[in-house]
Amino acid sequence: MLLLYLVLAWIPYCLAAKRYLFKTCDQSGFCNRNRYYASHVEQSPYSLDSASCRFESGALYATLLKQLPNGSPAQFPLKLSVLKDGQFRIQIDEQTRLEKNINLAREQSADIVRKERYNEAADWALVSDELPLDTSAKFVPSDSKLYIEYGPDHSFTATINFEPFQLSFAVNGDIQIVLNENGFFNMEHWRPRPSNTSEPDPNAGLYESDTGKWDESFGGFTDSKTRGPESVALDISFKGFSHVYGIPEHADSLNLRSTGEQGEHSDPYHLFNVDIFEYEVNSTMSTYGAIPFMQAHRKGASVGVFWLNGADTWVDISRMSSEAGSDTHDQKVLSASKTTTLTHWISEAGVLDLFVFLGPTPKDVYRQYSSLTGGTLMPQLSAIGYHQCRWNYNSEEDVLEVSAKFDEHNIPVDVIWLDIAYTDQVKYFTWHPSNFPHPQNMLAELDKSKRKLVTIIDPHIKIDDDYFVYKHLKETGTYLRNSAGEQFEGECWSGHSVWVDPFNPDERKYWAELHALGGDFAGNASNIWFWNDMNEPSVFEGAETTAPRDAIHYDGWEHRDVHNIFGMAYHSSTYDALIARHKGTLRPFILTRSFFAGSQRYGPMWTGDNAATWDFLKVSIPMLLTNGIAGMPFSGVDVGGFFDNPSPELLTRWYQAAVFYPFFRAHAHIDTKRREPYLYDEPYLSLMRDAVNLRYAFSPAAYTAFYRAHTEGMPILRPLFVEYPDAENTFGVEDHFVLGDTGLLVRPVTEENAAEVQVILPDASIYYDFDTQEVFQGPTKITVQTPLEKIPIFARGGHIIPQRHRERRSLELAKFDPFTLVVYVDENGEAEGKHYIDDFKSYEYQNGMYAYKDLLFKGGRLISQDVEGHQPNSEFLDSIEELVIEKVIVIGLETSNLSSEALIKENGEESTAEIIINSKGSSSAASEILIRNPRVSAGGNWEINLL
Amino acid sequence: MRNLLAFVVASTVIATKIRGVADENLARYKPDEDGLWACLSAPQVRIPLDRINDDYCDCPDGSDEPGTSACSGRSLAVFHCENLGHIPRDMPASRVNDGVCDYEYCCDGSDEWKGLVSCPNKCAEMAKQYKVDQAAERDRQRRGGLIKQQWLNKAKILKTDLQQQLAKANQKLLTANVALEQARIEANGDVVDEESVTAAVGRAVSLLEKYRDRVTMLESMLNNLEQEPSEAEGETAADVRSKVLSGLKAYRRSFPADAAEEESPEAIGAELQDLLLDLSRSDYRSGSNSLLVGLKRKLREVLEKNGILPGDETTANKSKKSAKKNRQVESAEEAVKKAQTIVDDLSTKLEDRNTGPDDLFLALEGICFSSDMGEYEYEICITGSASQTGKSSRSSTSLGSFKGNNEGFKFRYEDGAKCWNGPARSVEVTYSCGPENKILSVHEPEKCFYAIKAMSPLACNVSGDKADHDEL
Repeated sequence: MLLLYLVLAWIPYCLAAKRYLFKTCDQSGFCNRNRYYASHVEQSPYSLDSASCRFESGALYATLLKQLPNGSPAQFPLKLSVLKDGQFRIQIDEQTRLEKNINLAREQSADIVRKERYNEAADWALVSDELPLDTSAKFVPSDSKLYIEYGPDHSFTATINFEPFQLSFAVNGDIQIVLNENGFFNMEHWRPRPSNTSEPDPNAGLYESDTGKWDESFGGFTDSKTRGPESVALDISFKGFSHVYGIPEHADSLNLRSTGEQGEHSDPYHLFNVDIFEYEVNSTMSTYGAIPFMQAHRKGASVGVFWLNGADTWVDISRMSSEAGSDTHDQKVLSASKTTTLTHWISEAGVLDLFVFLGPTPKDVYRQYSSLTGGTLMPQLSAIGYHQCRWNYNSEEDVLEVSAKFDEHNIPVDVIWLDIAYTDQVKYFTWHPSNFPHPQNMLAELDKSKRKLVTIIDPHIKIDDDYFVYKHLKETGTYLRNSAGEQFEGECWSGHSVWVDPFNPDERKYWAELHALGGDFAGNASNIWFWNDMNEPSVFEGAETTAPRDAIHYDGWEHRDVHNIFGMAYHSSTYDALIARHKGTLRPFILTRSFFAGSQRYGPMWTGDNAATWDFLKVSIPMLLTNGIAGMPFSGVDVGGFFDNPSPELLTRWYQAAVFYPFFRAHAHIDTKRREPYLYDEPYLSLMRDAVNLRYAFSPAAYTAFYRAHTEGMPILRPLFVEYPDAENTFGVEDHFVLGDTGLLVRPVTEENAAEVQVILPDASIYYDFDTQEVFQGPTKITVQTPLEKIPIFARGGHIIPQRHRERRSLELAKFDPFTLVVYVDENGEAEGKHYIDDFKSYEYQNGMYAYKDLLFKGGRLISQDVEGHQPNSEFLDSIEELVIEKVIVIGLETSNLSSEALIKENGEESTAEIIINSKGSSSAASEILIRNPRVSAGGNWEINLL
Repeated sequence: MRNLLAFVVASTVIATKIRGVADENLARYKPDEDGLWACLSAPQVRIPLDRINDDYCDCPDGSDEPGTSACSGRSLAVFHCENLGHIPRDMPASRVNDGVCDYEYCCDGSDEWKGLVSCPNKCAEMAKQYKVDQAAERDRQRRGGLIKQQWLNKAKILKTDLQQQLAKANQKLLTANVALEQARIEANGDVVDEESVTAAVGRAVSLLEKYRDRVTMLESMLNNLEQEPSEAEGETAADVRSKVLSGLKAYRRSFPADAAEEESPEAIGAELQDLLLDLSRSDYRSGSNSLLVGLKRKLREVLEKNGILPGDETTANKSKKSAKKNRQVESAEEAVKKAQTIVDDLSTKLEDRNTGPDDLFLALEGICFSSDMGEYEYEICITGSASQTGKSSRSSTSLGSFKGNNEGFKFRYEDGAKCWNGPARSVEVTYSCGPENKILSVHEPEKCFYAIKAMSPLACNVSGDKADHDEL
């Protein structure tokens, strides 16, 4: 026995999620019931009462009727609206609950729990509750159907079938999305709790099983479910699509796998934010965040849906041949593709609120989605630099020594992080008295090199009557309550704790006070940043490691209603606090672990507690790509792996992949060895330094990509299918990506001892090996040798990439440095690119203090002009007068007829710059033309003529 | 014309200064006969002089931009700060004009010549502070150096003493070896006396009859020990020895009273004791099982020699006289072994890695110091062990024992108490010079690995060396 114990203790880390802590679909009453419903439904009992239709301010209102075995039909108010950018919204509520005409099952919850279906998810997720309507949409009613023509040139058609209730969406007559085609639409109507719940429910609907309708027990906890069964579910068919993406966060493939008995996964994809300790790759288990957005893509069409529901949600996915699919539709035009992907969305509670996006390109889908939930927060430049974290840097000396070591080894770093141990006994807003006695001095010291310090602030608040935050929560009652209405207590890092209720406006006000300028904790520093962790919320030893579903939030909503939104509400309360702290002059930085649709407005996320294995390096790519698709592109993973110690090779490869992560933070568990890059021997040290320097060199292009994510919802790391929407062989590729608009196609090495990797060059462009400038003609698949120093990066001809080549200690210290433009020409000797510049940290860009340049190379001339509608104001141009282009490098251009000097025209003045032709040695390498020191203004309009 | 112009420019440049270049290095920036200048470590690249410090990087090594940040990151992109009134220093070009006053390099503020930030000259005050610091350092070195000198003196004496002991021990070893040789010759020269052999056999047979049961018992006891369950894997040789000893005691207690009068069992017992003592000195690293086997073999030999057990033919036929001579050989062997052990011990002590630099470790034996560092009190015995005592619990935890030193007075202590779910604790103490032994800081960069900074005379320079040369 002793021996056995010893053997077990010596297995280093055998990672596996504690599956028994989490419900499977089978064990989850509402998921189980809806899967049962789906396998038994014959004819959808829902129909639209045509007599109830009325049009009001551009929207259609009607009532859906649900046939019940006993008694009169249940009524469900429906609202259909067409929004300005071609988005279609479907909202369905339940009349009885809306009128609060129900009895709660538990008497004690009578005055403290709301009776309606939760209808405020949109308030949290959407940028505005006043969405502009498309007033040109045309509603064409008939006896059994209603046609709505909308979108660009009325190319979109929504067809509403009254009985059974179904909706189909077509683009130019090609049906792409159908709702309730399979009759899985189900809203569990309210019914009184039967006196004996073990007997069949007399008020059950059709095809309804009785599993887990009332008190539901799991893992020693009982959920009281005072409102009874109240799930909402719908099937969404993507006609002719075999590829679907999105619904993060799962450690799974980019192209979502099929689920269920015939699928690769047995359980549906689960969206229920949890602190998933030691999560597994290739799993549909829920992790820390949830964005119920899905995109379907095929050649010639890209569409999306957004299931706006903050409750526990499961999504089943299956694929079937279209012919074998349903025949309940009079499809005017049959889809060309044979596969249909059927998805079944199941949420525990809340109203139905669904948005349908018809693209038709990926770019359109992202814009349509992000105009609803918001663009990514425009980060300060420092935020896209390198972040060094560890659980834990132990003291002020430790922090400053780490910072100094980076300088000593000439590795840039912008941000140093403090995990929980900086606090006094994990009481947030305090500092450990002996290890951090002078935090303001430490912050000031870091500020000298413009470095930032991140402190972690979690939502669990230690129960201690001498702790001011707890005292305040107790006095004001602005914490989360249990089902009896008392303070909810649980365990977390701080020991026995309560949880803030970020849904409570008073709590949010207090949160802002805690962060206020001049406060005891953060003082007047402008370089203190924040990290909101454990905000699923994580409750150690809690039901499914989180708060009970029947816990009660502000205004009487149950935790089940808002569970997936909690993390975002908490994150946004810190965001609001920091906007207030700096009076809106500084862009906040707050990392969150838990997220929901809309979280992108408040800061980046990371994928939580991964491990130092090659599998986790590999899965980081599809995970980040998926986040980018779902509007949350500012994302990263713990570089090096949180648990366990990476080999130097793994760590080096991870740094190389992370060059392109939108958020690049190295982090490590307290039980691991220190692994800051300067601790390594050669060649690893130099290779990691090179990786960080490469990231810093690309920072102008990355910053420009952030601006597009901010304004247009474009992913920063893009899957190949987004950049090559017609190249069908890329639709399932998840180990390549493209950085923003740079055309840089990257296939990071994520395999141990990889001597070579295969790289797909998907279209007929010219591609240049980034290191050797060797030329490849696409489309092709090539084998690339990958010694440890090699990152396979290929520049696609036709792109101009703004860069910065001077090395500095931090990105912010480089903000005065000149830029380099690298032009990779296409087969016609042409290229284009974009470059965005502002003051890199404030909101002044909203007042025109920025420049957004279109860079064009054509006919031997490089031209800089404003992107249409983005003329910078003169005040800004004056402020960046010294910000110039010091170098232009043109790659792949025919060199025979070049002039010896380039002629520069700017502001009506002419000047010249020397043209230098560099030879790369290899005959297969492209030519490299250097324009030496043109000194044109980075923000200005000018042209440089090489001929 | 162009060359001539370049030459004129070059003359001017050399006559004045080049930003970021030390005066003594200005000669490196002379033009060649074409009026061009070649990059310092890449002479194939030649540029006109007006491209030096023109804020554009032309040289692969960065040597054309000593005064700007244009070549930052390249090997020769180094900015020289004159720091008049203080010590001149070279700074990586990545810090030129980055908006930070890098006073640790440029007390004169010359690194921020573009004026992104104002960096007033601090050389005077920094030089003053530097002098104060230097004086303090010299004082530490002087006071600490005196103590270290005493330690070194002591170490010298201790070493001489050890060396003398070693010489003596070697002498003893030699003598013992001669004695052993003598005994062996005598033993081999023995003639077998048939009468005495017969008598011995008769005695042996009667003794055998008398003690057979007890021998069986002893043997089975040893067998049992050998077959103990797997926990024994972890037992040390010492544990096994103590079991054997206690078993032996039990065995002797079981003698009937009359037998106690007999000489033989006592003699056997005494001999066994010697044997065990001997075993305890030997290094049975290969594990407790081989110890048991060895023990059994030795025991059998003793029993055979005493005629208690039947041995092989030669043994059985040997006379008592020859047995006595054999005993003499064996005791001579014992003596050699003992002498060898002493020689080995002393030699090990005198090995360089154990005496440390200048044999300093010899003088540090037994020197311990402790400091109260907040939640814990730490104690370090410089060449012994390190430990941590919790303030509240008052229980002491071993952080490891001395395992030698790395460069720069970094002393390693390893194999301390194991952490829960973690490694065995270990420490690295980095000593700086000071007049006393004192812990300056304790830091746990990784779980259960402690980085301790301490001052001690051991890290000081003894008078007359480096410290003085460092002065300005």
